[in-house]
Parts: sequence; structure tokens; C-alpha cells
Amino acid sequence: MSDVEAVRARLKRIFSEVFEDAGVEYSDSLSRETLQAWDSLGHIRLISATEEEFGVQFTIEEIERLTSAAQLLEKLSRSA
Amino acid sequence: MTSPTAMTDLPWLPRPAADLRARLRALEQEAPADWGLQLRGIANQFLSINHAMAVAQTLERLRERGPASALTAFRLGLVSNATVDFIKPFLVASALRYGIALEIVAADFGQSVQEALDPGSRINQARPHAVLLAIDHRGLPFRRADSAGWPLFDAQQVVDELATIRSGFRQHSGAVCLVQTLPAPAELLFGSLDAATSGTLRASIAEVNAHLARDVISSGDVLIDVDWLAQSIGLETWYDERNWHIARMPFAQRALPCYAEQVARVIGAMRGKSRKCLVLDLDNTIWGGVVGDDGVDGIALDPGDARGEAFRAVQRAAADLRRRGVVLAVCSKNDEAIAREPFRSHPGMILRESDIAVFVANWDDKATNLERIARALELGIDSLVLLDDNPVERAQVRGALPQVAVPELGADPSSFTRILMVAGYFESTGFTAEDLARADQYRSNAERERALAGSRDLNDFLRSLEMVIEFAPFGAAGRKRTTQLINKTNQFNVRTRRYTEQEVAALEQSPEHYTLQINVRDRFGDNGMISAVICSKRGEEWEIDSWLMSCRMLNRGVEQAVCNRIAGDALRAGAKRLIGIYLPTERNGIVRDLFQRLGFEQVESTATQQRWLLDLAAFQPLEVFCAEQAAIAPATASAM
Repeated sequence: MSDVEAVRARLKRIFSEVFEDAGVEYSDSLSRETLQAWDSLGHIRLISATEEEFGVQFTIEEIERLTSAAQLLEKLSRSA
Repeated sequence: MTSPTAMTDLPWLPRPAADLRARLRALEQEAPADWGLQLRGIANQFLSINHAMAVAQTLERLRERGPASALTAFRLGLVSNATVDFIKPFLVASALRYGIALEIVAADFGQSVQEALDPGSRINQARPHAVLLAIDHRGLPFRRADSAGWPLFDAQQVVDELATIRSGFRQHSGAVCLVQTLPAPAELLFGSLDAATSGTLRASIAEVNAHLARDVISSGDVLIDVDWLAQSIGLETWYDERNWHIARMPFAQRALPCYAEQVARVIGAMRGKSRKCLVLDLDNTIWGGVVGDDGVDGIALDPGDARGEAFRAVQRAAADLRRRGVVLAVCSKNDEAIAREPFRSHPGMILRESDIAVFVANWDDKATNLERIARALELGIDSLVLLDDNPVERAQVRGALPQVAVPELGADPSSFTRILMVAGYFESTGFTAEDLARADQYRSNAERERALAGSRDLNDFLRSLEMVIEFAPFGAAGRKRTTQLINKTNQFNVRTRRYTEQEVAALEQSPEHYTLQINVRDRFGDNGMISAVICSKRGEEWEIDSWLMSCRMLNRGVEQAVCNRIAGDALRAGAKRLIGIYLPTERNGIVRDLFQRLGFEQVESTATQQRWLLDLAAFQPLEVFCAEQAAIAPATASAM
């Protein structure tokens, strides 16, 4: 499994936990525009769960910018 | 052993079960009649934010289908200068732990004053039972806008604004306000001087808190000491600047569970849901070790000893709770006399027997005993908190009596006191003279009950143990255990004579000696060899050279059965008198009156020795509660 695949698998778990009640199936194309449950509070929950899982801390600029699954995947794969 | 101890993890709660979401889904689908109780059970674990949201959602869906019988409805107004969307599900989930079904009516962000003063506002129209003022220093007018110089901050405007909000809600909705004390920020202006300099934010906040502490309770409002909470988990953890700037979250996400807990327990206290009685286990809960095995002198309770100090801290906390009106009870798997012994004779004990309203020490299961305690005190079972170091007992009680609060405890006794004292079981919104008298009232009620129920119960209980006693002379099979008992037993030991294994072996063959090894089993299992006797045969007079017994067996009629046995065997061998000798030591006071209880006559008493005589011709066998197993030959005596 490549690094990207490993990160994607972990992101998938996080998305299903955070958006479980919305019945969300992970895909790279998910974004704040397309997913209703990914509102401002959903965003905070997603970011904290991601930070906890990957042991990282994003800057406030990054938090405002990381608004799609693809962006998260890219950012985390690069830093991994 | 790793168990959480950080307060943000609510360490007194069990960790969430893996099937939490599945149970919520099942509850929503089936909506059973007791869904309130079940949902309360699910909420009674440590919940993450995602769990809390799921629990709150389940409550909302089930409530649409009908009221919950086991839950008390409570409408809470909520005003804040911050985002409350995260707080809401946690408040709902936490309130469920106290049997409260919360309905939250929230004002728009930062609209506290308008919401309070407008009779037509959402909150005032909803007629809530209480309004939570979830406002921190950033939402209050601390900063002096009117001057460019000093002071930079001022308390008076804040005190006035909070007073305005409180009186507005009282006037227009009839609700009491839950007023939060304010944590100071982690940043300083001068440094240490901030605390001492009027006009700094730190000094102004301290001034407001002091004012609230004086004013809130007497006004009929309720205080929530958020300042204490933030200090306890640390200001550095409490304030999360990133989440404040991004989402206007008033404090760190990690602090949500403990914040909501603190609010919920106050609401619980307003509705009479606080606990009234602390039930204490004994061994390894309020002292270190097992008193039945280690003896009163062997338990850890000494000042200066780390473990002893840790357990003394637990006792001091319990004694302090009693002083404020919490009733104390004991529930221990022990023989009662042994369990009471440290209370009577251990100098390291802080709790006294007179502090304990109901003292239950027996071998029944804890759930049954907790029901007895509740009955004796005429309290609901949901008034009890059980402090018990044993995870098996905790699980048994949680399963059988989910209404009893049972804090999780780790392996380290130095963590017990804080867990007990911050878990919020005894939260109170006021303190009266009645509270002070309460613990004593419960005690005298329980004593009356006990006098009525008294001795009949003890005999019934002993019979219920279905004890079977087995006698055999000393033999090779039990020799190791016999030697161990002879050399280890300090309490129930009339002469405290020690014998080596070789000497014990010699006694097996000695025609001048009579020996007994005694095994007892009961419906809870085999206790193994618990007692040994050596008599010197001197024609018509037999003298008890040694008699010792494990303290676990005390008060179960075992010594009576042993006495019957010795007397019978001596008579058959042609003896006329049985001599008992008691040599007092520091530790064997427990058998000081043994021979008297068994019907011996005292023939000599000095400071160092008592001599007792039993006339065998006149001896009437004593009442016993155990059946006797047929005697077996030493060669086949069961090994330990």
C-alpha cells in the first residue's frame, strides 16, 4: 500500500466517524460545497479528529484552506 | 495498569462501549417503555463529541414519540458570547446522567442583554426553568473604553451588566439564572504584579468572581464555578486560541465533557438528583490490604507510609462529606467483627464506627447489600454511591442496579480521593442547618431498624452459608498448611506458640497429643484449612496447647463446632476436664473472651495469663451452623 493509500484509509475512518449520522461514504471529491453535514462545526470536528489521528497541528490558515477531502489527502500525504 | 486520570476524561465514568451507536439505533427503532432508563445508562459513560451528538439526537427522536417516564424534563435557556452548538449536545448527554431530559432554548450569539430584557424574546417566551449564562470575560465589558490611560479594565461595569441580565430573566421569564464564575486568561500584562494591581484584567476578574460568590446564592440564583474547572484542568488547556479565532469556541474541545458535566450536575442538584449516601467498601478502598488476612496491624493506614496516607486521604474525604450531611455506610465482604476491628482499634483510622449509619459486612453479593442499606436508611437506591476498588464488584453492581453511582477507580489509591470528590455525586445548590443534622438522623433511624431485625437475621444468614466442617488429625498431607497457619496466625491464637514443620510432624506421631486440622467449605466455595488445634493429654485433664483460626472464619460458629469436637473426643478418651489458657499479646485481643463464650470457668487470671476450665461431664454442646463431614484418616486428608 502506498503512502497515499494508507492516508486515504485513515481519512476514510475519520470521515465515517465524524459524519456517521449523515451516512457519508468517503471519496476524494467530498468538499464543504458538496457535503451538507460538512458545515462550520463539522469542519472543526473533522479537523480535530484528523489532528488527533495524524498527530499534527494545522495553522489557522491551513484550517481555513483545507476544505475538501482531496486537499486533506494531499496535505497529509506530503507531510507523512 | 492504565486508566485515565485527567479530569477532562471524566475518569470516574466507564469508557464508552464499542456497541454504543448500535444500542442507540436499537433504542430508536424499538422505543421500549423504559427507553429513558436505558438512554440514561448509555449516557453514563465517557462520551466523545460524536457520541454526545448521537445521544442527543436519539433523545430528540425518542422524545417526539412520547415522554420518557424515567426522565425529568427541564427547559434550559442558554445565552452566550460564543458558539454554543458544541456545548448543546454535551449538555443534553450529560444531563441524562442525572435523569434529566434537557430541552435547550438558545439565544442568538452574543445577545445576552437583549434576550434578558425583551419580554418577547425567544427565551423569555419559552418560560425556561433556568437560564445558563455561558458568558466568559470576552463577552463582558471589562475593558474601559472611556479612557486612554489607566485603569485598563474595570469590574464594576461587568457586575452591573450581569445583574441586569439576571434581573431581566427573573422578571420576564421567572427563571433562575445559572451564573458562571470567570476563569482569568492565561496571559499577563505585568507578570506576577497583575494579581495585585487594580485595573488589570486578572485583578478585575478576581473582583467579579468574589462579588458573584457573595451575591449569587443569596439572590436565589445558582453559581457554577467554571473558574475552578478551568484552573483544575489548567488555563493552558482550557483556552484554545485557535478555536476561538476560527469558530468562536469559548474553550478547548477537550474541556467540553467536563464543562457540560459541571453544568448538568448543578441542574441535577436543582431537581433533587444528587446522591445522599456514600457506601464504602473497606479492604483496599479505605485501608490498604485485606484485614481478614493481614490482620488489623497489617493493613496500610499509617501516617508517614505512602499507601497509608493515600487511604487516610480517602477516609478524611468521607469524613468531610459526612460533616456536610452526606450519609456514610459500609458494604464489605468480610466477617462483621473483623471489618469493625480497625474502626475500634487501629490508630490510623480517621473514620469511626459512629460515622457509619449502616454497617453491612457479610458474604452476600453487593447489590443485595446495597438494597438493604437503602431500605435501612429509607433512601432510594438512586441515592447511593458505591466506592469500591474491586472492578468485579463494580461491574456486578452496575449490572444489577444501574441506578447506583459506581465511580471507576484505578489501581493507585492516591487517585481515589480526587475521583470521589470531583465526580459531582453530592453536588448541592445550598447548605442549611438541616444538612448538618442529616447524617446523625439517618444513623439513629438505621440503628432502630437494626435492633428490630437483629439477631434472628444473623443466625439465618449463618445457616444460609451452608457450611460444612471437616476435622482430621494432623497428617503429612496438610502439614505445610498447618505449619503456615501456626506460624502466621496472630489474632485468633490463644497462646501464639510456634512450631516448625519437623515439630508438627513429630506431633502427628505423639501419643501424648491430640491434634485437629479443620477445613470449612460453604456455598461460596472451599475455604481450605482454616484452623488447627493441639491438646496435651494428661490423663483426666486435657490442656489446649494451641488453638488458632483464620480471622475470615470468625463469627460463623466455627469455634463452637471445634469446641464441641474437642470436648466430645476428650470425653470419649476418658478425660474429665479441658483446660484453656489465654496468653495475651498485642494482637490476639480477639480471643480474650473466647473461653468464656464457650462456657469455660475462669480459674486463674493475671496480667500475663488467664486459665480457664471446662467441666466435661456438665458440658452441653454449643449451637452450631455447620454440618460435619465424617472424619477421615490422616493419610487421605485433603491437601491445601
